[in-house]
Amino acid sequence: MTTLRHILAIAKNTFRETIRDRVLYAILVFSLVFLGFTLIISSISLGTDLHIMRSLGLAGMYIFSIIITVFLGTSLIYKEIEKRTLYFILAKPISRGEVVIGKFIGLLASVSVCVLGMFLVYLGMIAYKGGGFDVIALLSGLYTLLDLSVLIALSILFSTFATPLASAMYAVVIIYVGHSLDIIMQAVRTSGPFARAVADVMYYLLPNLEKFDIRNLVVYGMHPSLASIASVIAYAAVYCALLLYIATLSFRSREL
Amino acid sequence: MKHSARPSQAETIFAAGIIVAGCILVIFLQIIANRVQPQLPPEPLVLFPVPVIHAVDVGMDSAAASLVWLNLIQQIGQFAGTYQGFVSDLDAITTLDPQFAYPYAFAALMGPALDPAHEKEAIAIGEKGVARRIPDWEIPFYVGATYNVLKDRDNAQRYFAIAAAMPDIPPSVRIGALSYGSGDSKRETTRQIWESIYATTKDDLTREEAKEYLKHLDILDTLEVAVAAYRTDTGQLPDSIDTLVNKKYLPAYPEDPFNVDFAIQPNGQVIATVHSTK
Repeated sequence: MTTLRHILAIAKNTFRETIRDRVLYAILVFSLVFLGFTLIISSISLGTDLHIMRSLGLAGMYIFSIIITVFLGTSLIYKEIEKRTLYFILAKPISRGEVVIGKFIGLLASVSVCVLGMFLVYLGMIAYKGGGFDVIALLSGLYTLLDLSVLIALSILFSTFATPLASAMYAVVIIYVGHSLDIIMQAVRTSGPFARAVADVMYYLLPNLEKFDIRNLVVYGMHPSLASIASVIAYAAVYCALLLYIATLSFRSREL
Repeated sequence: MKHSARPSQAETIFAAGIIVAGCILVIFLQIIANRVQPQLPPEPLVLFPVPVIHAVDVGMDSAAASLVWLNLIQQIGQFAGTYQGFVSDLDAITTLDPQFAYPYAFAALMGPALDPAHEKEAIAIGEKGVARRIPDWEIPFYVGATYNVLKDRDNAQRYFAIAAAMPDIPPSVRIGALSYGSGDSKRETTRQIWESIYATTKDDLTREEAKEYLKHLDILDTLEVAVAAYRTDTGQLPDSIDTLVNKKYLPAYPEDPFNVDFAIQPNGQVIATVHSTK
């Protein structure tokens, strides 16, 4: 119970701190401007306006969600170490693991609020254009949050040992590779055994972010099966737990 | 320690005035620069090959296809229908996002008009959409309409039958698709096809194309009525359309949207011919 109280206290504080960040609101405003832009641009799409709004809207929300996540997550712990505010927290009987998990939950809550805001605007626009209530887009939102939870855990891990700029670069590389693993596997199919072995290791160890991508399905009103949804949730949960555990170890090994 | 004083109202107004004047000067210089810069002819945007787009779009294939589609629409508008990359762009769109239905139909119907050099490839894109069983009646219907224009009745009938079997086809269009080839008048069949397209399309370019075809058919009908009236009065067919104009059976030589000439057949029917420079 005490552990849970500590984690929730840190989470609440992290949420308050991140949700007040002015740069976050600037990114959110840009994302809403982008969504409005898709509404305008869809009017010149020769009758495919709903398709354009769905495909560009979902893609835009994903890109802005990543920007928010990487921007907030990569400086989370590093900032506290630099400002020395972490010492006050660790002086109390709060473990580094509790700090890491609390930061994760707090940041996930902030990012969820941002994603929810963007989705509400997106759903409003689709309904305005006569697309009705896009229920399946809500599933895409859930998958986006699972994707972002892995990225948050990754960003927190990086922020335990790297500067915000370096952490952001690592995160961007992982995001790109995470979406390209299927392409890499296809590309090495005709290569030698060593290349295939390296690709296999990368494929199974690196976060396969394509698992969380159902945007292409949502555009056509299709949805994954219950078994698929359950496996993706389990994958995200286990991967986040592993990353947070490694982040805790990294944080513990750091001399403050 | 000296504290910095808050600016006075006069200073604030002066600063605002400087900023406004600066913005006006920037806008003015931009207008001047646009006028004096040489106007280069617009160049079409060259797209990366599909495998490159697929590799860098981090899984957002549908969004990438949408952007290529929007770019294509802009290029058609900018290059007044002579855009050379029409078919290759549509091929890229349908490869990146195979479920994006409308580009298949658009390629089949508008391809021969907008990119005559790649007419076969454009129709092949439409046929690809039918082969992939994309659930959109417009794809086989537009392929059938194009084959009808090319006077390939067998293929036209085949694709109209496929369109007629699709669940989302409007009832009035379905009747026309089912009855293709069963009536005597090919022109009436063709008119029904274009009327269906005109009534159902949400796309201005396609509606414009349908309107032009219907106008062309109206002109043929009007000419045949004038030929029939001339034959009734004189007992023989006119030599040419110019005779009908000279004898006041027509107010003027009709301006066809496809810039074709007209010839009168021995049975009184009027057909379109290649435009000759007079």
